[in-house]
Amino acid sequence: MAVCIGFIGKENSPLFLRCINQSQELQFHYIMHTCIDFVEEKIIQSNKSGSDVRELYLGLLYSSEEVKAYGFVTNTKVKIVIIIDSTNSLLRDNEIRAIFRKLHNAYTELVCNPFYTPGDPITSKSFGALVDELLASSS
Amino acid sequence: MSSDLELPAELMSRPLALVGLTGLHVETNQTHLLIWNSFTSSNRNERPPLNFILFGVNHTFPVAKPDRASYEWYIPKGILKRKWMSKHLNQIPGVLVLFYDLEWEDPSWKAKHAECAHLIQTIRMKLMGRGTKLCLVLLQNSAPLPSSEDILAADRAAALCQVCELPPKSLFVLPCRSDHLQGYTLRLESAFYELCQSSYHLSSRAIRSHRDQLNRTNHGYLFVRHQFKIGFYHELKQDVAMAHKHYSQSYAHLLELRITDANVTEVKIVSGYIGYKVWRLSFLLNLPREAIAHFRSHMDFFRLRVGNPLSKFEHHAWLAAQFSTFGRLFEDAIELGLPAIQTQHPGFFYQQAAQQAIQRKKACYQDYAALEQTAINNLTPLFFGESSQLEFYGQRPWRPNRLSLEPSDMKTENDGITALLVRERLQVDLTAMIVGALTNAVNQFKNHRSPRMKQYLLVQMAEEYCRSENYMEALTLLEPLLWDYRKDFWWMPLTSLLQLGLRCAYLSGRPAEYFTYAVELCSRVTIKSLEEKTHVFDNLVGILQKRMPPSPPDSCDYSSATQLWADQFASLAKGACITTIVTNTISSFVEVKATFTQKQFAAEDVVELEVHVIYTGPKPIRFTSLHVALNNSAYLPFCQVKNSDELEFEPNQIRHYEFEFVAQAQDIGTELQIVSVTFEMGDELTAYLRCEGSSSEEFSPLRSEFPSATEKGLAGIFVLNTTEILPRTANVELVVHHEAPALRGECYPLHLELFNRENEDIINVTLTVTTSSSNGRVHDQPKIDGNVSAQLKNEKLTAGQTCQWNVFAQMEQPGNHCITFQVNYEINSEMRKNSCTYKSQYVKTLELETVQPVECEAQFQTIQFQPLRQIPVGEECVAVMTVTNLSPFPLQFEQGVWKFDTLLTNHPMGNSQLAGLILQKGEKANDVAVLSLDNGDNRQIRTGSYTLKWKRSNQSKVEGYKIPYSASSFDLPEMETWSVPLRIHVTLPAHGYVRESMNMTIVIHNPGPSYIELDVYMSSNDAFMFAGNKQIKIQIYPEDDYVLKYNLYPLLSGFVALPPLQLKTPTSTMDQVVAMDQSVLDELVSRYVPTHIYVLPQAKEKGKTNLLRSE
Repeated sequence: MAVCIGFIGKENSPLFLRCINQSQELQFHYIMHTCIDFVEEKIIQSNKSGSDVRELYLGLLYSSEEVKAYGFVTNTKVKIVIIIDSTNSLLRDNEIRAIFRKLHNAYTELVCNPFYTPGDPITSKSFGALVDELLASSS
Repeated sequence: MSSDLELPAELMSRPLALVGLTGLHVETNQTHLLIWNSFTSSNRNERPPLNFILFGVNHTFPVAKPDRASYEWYIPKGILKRKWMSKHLNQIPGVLVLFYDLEWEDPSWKAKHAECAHLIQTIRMKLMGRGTKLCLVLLQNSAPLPSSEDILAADRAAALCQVCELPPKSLFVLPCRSDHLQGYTLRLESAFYELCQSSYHLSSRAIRSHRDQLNRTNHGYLFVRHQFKIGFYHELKQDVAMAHKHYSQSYAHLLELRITDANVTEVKIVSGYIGYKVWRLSFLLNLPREAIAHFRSHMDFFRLRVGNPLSKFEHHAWLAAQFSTFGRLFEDAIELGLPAIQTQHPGFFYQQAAQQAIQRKKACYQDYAALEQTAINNLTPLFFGESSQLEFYGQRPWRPNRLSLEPSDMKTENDGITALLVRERLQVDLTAMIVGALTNAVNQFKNHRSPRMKQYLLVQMAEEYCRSENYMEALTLLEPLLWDYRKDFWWMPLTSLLQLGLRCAYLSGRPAEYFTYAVELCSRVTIKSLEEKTHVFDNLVGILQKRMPPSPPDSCDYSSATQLWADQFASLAKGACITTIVTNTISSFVEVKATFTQKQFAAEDVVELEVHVIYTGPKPIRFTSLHVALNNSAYLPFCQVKNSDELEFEPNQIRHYEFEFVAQAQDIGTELQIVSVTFEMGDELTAYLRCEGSSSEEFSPLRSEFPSATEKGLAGIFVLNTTEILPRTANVELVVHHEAPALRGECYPLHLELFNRENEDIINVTLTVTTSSSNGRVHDQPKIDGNVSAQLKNEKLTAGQTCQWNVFAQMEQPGNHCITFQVNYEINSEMRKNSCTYKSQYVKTLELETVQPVECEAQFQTIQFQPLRQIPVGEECVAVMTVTNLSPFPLQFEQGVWKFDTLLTNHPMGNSQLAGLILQKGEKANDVAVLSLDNGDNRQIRTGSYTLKWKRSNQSKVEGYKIPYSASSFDLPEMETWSVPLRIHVTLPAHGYVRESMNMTIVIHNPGPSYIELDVYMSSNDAFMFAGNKQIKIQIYPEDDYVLKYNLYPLLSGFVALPPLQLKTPTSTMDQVVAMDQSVLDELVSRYVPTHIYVLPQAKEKGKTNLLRSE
């Protein structure tokens, strides 16, 4: 069950964060922040391997007793993180990939909007609605 | 239960096979002490893993319980017995060794060997029912013989074995007088080790044999216990793989047990113990994945098995213990070389341990708060005794040795747990546990490249400190964390941390910290409602009026805080500064950009400075003053605002301030920098908000500025943090008059005219003239020397006037040369009502072209002006110098001076032919000197030099100065000298007439010291008939002449060839005659003998007269 979806800018500032349970938002902010460590490490490792074409989907970032975090990095270094409940084993890798693809498309569309400055916190309502929908559907 | 949470020492230690030594009287017998020491001394690592214990001869071992014939009616009361492990580690040896002093040839052999047998028998009785093996070691003084030769020894050994009922392999002889005691004991040890292994093997077999008698319904505990024991025996015999297998089985049996509220605690505790063995051995067997997987399933199985709802805190305590135990095992394995990765390392387990410890504390406090006071008073902690006294691990003190399936008495159960809860609440330092676990986790995450995870853990640590009222620690931790989250714009965590800080600062009575956090909380970046911000803002303003902020709504004890605040306020005098906040390191509610309006200001200009301020707080604010500090504090009075009306801000208002001042003289040429902009606020107490800009980056619109500069407000303002104060611009003009190009070596006059265009008089004017070229010189007098620079001075030059100088430059090389003129002066100027002396500088550069003035070409010629290749000895010749004027100006020559080598004699010619001569551009003149070489032979000589003194002929413009002549010197070419072997002198009229005879005399002179023989040939030609010797052989003595006379009769007119003379060396000459080379002779002839002559035709009239005359 995806409990939280977050977008992190290329300079590691939070762009957008939405979670199912509003009361846990602060905690997810902290968790999202810690995910940057693992994303950075994965990027370094994929850079070391030297292939030009980098897989955007990073896979499982880490899992703790409570949550599992999955990561995705766009070519512009915008990080997308999906956090799911550790007890949930229904969500498969494929489905997570699919969610990431949808999120990536949504972000691409957002960036196409000339009124949005890349790097600013995302306030678009339609974008928010889309993420909410994904959260709801994956749960 | 809490004491059983800690793993018992016997579980954690590495089990070593126990060998008991007896019969050694260590206190009285030196030899025995030596033997004992040799067993227990150093290098345990390299020796078999054994643990030696010394028992007295009369030591009583724990009595073994008799084996059960049948388990049918037996129901075990617990899973693992508390004493069993330590009993086998420390009390019941695998092998017991009896040391006995007995020589083979002992005279009282009989008696002694009976005593020995008796001793063995006694010990055997004591260890009845144990698998312990017995050994006998005979201590002998004599050196051992090979056993086959010592028949007595063999016989007696066999007899001894028989009487003691020992197998022959259990009898050893130790020569204790030997120097190689250590070697013997080592061999004994390996023998003991083998015996131990077989002893433990037997024990485990014995336990296994019980299995058939057990049934699943009643003996679940025994399945677990027996497998554990077998595993432990295997561990004692160092069979790690088998031990791991049996421990795993034991664990599997444990999970099959029926778990009820009554036994859940025991099962959890024991599962933790067995799990510990399983995980530890998995790591030891290099199966870390298996260990982790096993641990995870362990946690999954027990996570929700709380048991009694009251014992929630116990459950969390147990979970925390599991995580931290596993974390430590993992960490130990890493220390032994197991590689860990970022996503799988002990930190995660420590983190969970901390989480569970936090939960434990929470549950404990909650449940404790729910208790009624009377219930607490009625209980005495430890009413039921310590659980460590119980027979089985993990059982309840109030329910000892009760079968788990018996229904429990709920009242006792609840009372017991309540007693534990009270003890937990009042006696256990939970904060230390949480912080300890967090510290462990922090270290791990730091090692595994997860700085942000580390930050998150530190946040939790700070929160824990705050909860445990350790506010100082919390604030210390908080400070760097705030920066970490602020730096990447994580505003929500930042807000939460600030609130935590605010709370800590409030509860510990610290106005400065409270104020700082409040300022940041009021800024626009924090995620708080306007209402909350307004509330915080009111508190912040209140502090400056010595008003204590209201307590946070959830804070329970604010009485002490109130007192602290009152004390703090009392200690602060009126107007005292409570804090200075550096606002550009936090996201403050005031954002400042301070900039100079220009990159550079001239010294006489007014320096302009702008400060732009945006205020983003929730309510209007009024600052007391604003200061801009520059790197020179002298400007402070010009850069401040004190009128507080101008410092009143509405929320989100932007104000601009402009400052002007005149740069001071000592700042000219330096950089002025804006160091900080400071706001002062409050009057009862004051606080300063300072925006610093130590480097231009910090004021620049980059990321480092807080809060994000991309937002509206001051975003568009470009910041110039520093400005340069330039020297005053000079307002004078220097005109240089000269006649280019300069001539090389010439004393070249430059006429300088300085025009003062300033409005004021200028004083202390100095003009420095410098040549850039290394072989150029300048001088203020017309002299042919000087330095690379010259300085000219003038005390004062009134406005609008000029002054003039002459300087003279001399360039030694042709080409372009730079001459720099630098004018320095001072001027007194009135600026903003204070007179100030400024220094000004004016620089002008002149590029001067320099050309070669004259060209001189020297040549040596015969006296007939025929070119000479060699200078003949003893003859006169001339040196001709051709001087060409290459310069564009007419040149006047003073004189040309020859300077010849001393070998050459100069025939004085009076004045130089060039003296006073003026050559126009391109004209040439010759200077001639006659000279002769008196003696010498054939060699190369340096002929000398020629110096020409010259100047421009029209240089009359430089008034008051007489320009000296410049001298140009030229080297004459190097020449060969030639001592001529023959000198031929031909006497011939200047011209002849056709058909009129003329005389030719040829004198051949021999200047050398030797006799010469020559053949002379005179050939005829078409132009002449001649009379005289046509062919003759002549001999000439040294210093002698030979004269040949010819009468020539010209036949043709014109420039006709004379009959050619030819000299040859005779083919047959005598030895003493110097043979001359034909080529030399030919050259001599061609040199001295004219080849042609003008023959005039006969005039007809004249011809008649001539004819008449001849008649």
